Amino acid sequence: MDLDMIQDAFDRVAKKQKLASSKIQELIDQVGREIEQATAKLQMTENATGCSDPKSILVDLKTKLNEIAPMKQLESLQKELNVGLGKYVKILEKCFNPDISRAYRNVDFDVNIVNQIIASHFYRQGLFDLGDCFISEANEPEAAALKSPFMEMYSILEAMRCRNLEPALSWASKQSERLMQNGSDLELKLHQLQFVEILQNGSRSEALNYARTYLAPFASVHKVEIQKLIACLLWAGRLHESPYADFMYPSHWERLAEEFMQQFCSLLGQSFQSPLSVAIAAGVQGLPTLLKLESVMAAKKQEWLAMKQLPVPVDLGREFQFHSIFVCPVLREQGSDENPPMLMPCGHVVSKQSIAKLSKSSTRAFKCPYCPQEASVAQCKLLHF
Amino acid sequence: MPLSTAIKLSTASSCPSLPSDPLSSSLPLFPPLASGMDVDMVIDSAPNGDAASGAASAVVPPAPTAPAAPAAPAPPPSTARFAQVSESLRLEHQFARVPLEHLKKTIRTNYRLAEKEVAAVISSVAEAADRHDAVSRDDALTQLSSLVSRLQGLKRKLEEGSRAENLQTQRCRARLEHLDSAANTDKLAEWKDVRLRRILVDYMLRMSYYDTAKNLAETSKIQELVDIDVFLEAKRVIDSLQNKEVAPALAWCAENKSRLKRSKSKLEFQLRLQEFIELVRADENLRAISYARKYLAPWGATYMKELQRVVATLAFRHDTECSIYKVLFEPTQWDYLVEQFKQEFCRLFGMTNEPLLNVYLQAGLTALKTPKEDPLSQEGFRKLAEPLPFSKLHHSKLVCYITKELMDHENPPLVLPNGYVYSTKALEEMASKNDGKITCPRTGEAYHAYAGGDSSETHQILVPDILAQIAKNPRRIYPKHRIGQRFDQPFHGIHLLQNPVAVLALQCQHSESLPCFDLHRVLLLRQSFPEEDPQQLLNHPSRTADPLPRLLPHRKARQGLDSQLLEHQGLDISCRSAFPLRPVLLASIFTTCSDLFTALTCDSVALSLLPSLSLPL
Repeated sequence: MDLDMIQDAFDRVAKKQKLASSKIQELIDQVGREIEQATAKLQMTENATGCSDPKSILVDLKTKLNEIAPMKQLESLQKELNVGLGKYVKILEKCFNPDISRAYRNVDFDVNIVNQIIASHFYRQGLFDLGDCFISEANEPEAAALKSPFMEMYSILEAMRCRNLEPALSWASKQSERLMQNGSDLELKLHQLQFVEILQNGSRSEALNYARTYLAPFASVHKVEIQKLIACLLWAGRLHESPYADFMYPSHWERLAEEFMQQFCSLLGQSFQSPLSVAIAAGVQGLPTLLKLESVMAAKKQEWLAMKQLPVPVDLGREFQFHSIFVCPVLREQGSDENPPMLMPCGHVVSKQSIAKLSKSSTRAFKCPYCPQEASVAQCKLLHF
Repeated sequence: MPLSTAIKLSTASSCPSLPSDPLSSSLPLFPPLASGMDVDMVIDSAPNGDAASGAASAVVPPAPTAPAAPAAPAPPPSTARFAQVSESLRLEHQFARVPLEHLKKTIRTNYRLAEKEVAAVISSVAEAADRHDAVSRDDALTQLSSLVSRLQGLKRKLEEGSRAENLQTQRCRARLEHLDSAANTDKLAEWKDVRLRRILVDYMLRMSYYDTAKNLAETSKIQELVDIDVFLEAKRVIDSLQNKEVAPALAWCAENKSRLKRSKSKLEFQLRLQEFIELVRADENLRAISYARKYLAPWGATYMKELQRVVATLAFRHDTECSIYKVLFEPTQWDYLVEQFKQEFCRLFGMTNEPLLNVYLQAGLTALKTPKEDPLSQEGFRKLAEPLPFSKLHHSKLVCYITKELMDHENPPLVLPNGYVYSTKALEEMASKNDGKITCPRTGEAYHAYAGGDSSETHQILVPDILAQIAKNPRRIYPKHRIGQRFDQPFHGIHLLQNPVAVLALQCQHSESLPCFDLHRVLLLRQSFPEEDPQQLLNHPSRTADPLPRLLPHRKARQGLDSQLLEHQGLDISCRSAFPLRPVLLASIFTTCSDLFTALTCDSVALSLLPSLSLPL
């Protein structure tokens, strides 16, 4: 898409517009001047011997104005400007896709659901006032319930930003079992950071006490980390000189904040990224394909709006791949519970239905479509991706 | 029984091209539409799933207007992303068009104002000059001075108007610049965030949540990028319509008369009809009739039936029970008018009919939807996505349950004996952390990774190498002369896998420096020393001594073979094999892969030599 060309075209239009408006001003000035001249002449005749008749002055004025023909000039200016504007509009229509709602199916998008999704998106981003304002305007009082967990999260994050780990630690200790189930060592990392903080303030004994109380439970699992931390005791107060200086980096705080958010959201049963932004980003990637499909279908005069499955793939980037999708290479259909993928002894995987078709009687051996190895239905194993 | 066998990825590089699919005749064909849509399978060696650029070209129909774009190889990620970004910019028509339309409108208003005033001035001068009776000087003076003041008033208004015009030009430019800034890849995430907010503001404005819209625009500082003032204009009209007043709406129609006419809109007609109905409701029939004569009649030519229906309400009263006419008196008619107005308004300004949010959300949900699971796993999204279609996928896209990474040639899928599939990386990591023990995360069954050094284990490790190498260099495996060949396919190391020896034979062929017949020596060496790299083995002549006692010398045969090969290939004699071939071994090679042999050696020579060896074939 050639943005430079569009910008140039627009500059041309803007120039024309300025020209036109200045010319109009000039024109009006001109007319005004003529009138003032006439006025002056009229006033002159007051002093002089009244030779010229006001009427004739007026007639003069009229003819002069007709000469200038301001109306015609106005018209021509406007026409030129319109031509320029029209050209620019055409360029816009050419470079952009003029109607992206062509591919829109007229299904009812339940407004309440959409509003709730938007409200939860605002709360997740921490925009609580905005969310409240939205809820009140959209009349969705139930959505206010979504607020509280996120408020907690953001208050803990605020504290972390001020280097205060207390609320985070109390939360983590409350949720320690669930965190461990998730396989996260958030609690350990929080304690580590707190330990380093205490150490930096120089108090060795305090740090040691802290380590004894809080780091000890993790000793069995994360021996190496604990060893490093205890070694830091030697450099209390001057950690930057130690070989473990990287414990001091502020990036630890940022990463910890991120991990905290991730764990918090996953314990809530929600994904870390706002689902609305994921859906919209997927839509931005998928929409050009859909629009192309629509134009092709329109050219072929076929109805595609009622189809359950689109005839073309809408490819998205890797970041949108959340689950495995198995497409049987023979049937070109997606695997499902009734038609799961099966592994043949040669190592190739096809769906159950194609295996059934390949071996028409279930006892005979059939050949894999890819390699000449024979297999029988009993040898094929059900796969779980 | 091998612990875990690699699964052959039935992705692009290993699937047969459609025409030669041996099963295509017996399987359900695609609906004829789809076969026209589908381009032949893209056989690219790109990793799994990276066909984003290919997708756009895969949709190209064989229609004369659209040029058939050849499926391009997957471009490097940065240009792919850039292409994606510029593709997404193309969707921003509304973004660039609305301020332009607003500008046009302002220009038009200013022009009309100027036109009117100047025309008035000139006509009053003309009128004064054409008067038959004499005009006194004072009269003339006063008239002229009034004209002058009028002109001055006009000038002031035009100055204001041109300031507004400039502001709007500035806004147009700012938007174009914003679109340009999307090319700056550092700030791409921010740009996308701004885009999401723009979409949300557009949604708020369309649903008439003006406060939230203003709030959001201010907090994100995107006032120039959204069209709040445009919508505020519409708000006036909508509010009045909801108060059952038609006047502002009619004024709006009058302002935009020519454009509404061009788009053949009947909004004005409907507004007038509603006014008529209100008159009837108030039982002012006479006024209603004269109103109809004045305002409704001109529309009669195009919308006669509707006109007749509405005028017939004169005969009924507003509390009529007759359904056809009762509906016309319902207050919901006003809501319908509001909708109509909104649509016309959007069309005039070049906006889509639906909120941008809905458009993108629908497209996104369609793209993400799978028959099994809803990827966003939230109740709300699932409900929204119910009536939407799935998109069709051509290739499997496999995601490891443990690492959530894509499983492709670099990270192939492995299957455990219980049927669960994970990526190689995940299993290797698990094994290395837990002394070779692998626990299936979903069923809890445990297995041992390195089960005793049998050939099947090497089998497992070999395969990814082969696949990777073949993927890199498919042409080298393609046999030049296919004698007795059953498939029109390049070797994918598949039948080779049954015979590890043959696999190694292939592996050797890849290294340029090994002439073909050294293959034999390497094979034998490899049998005895499985761990060694083939290249290294060649340079250790001492090692070759060991296997001798077990070998059956067929010196004559071997020499004949060697010299002929040498002659034909003009190869260097220096690396001649030091010990004779094992005919059994040779036979095993030949019997399993006759074509392989032809690929490995020079074609006809090999075949001619075979009878001299008197080996079973």
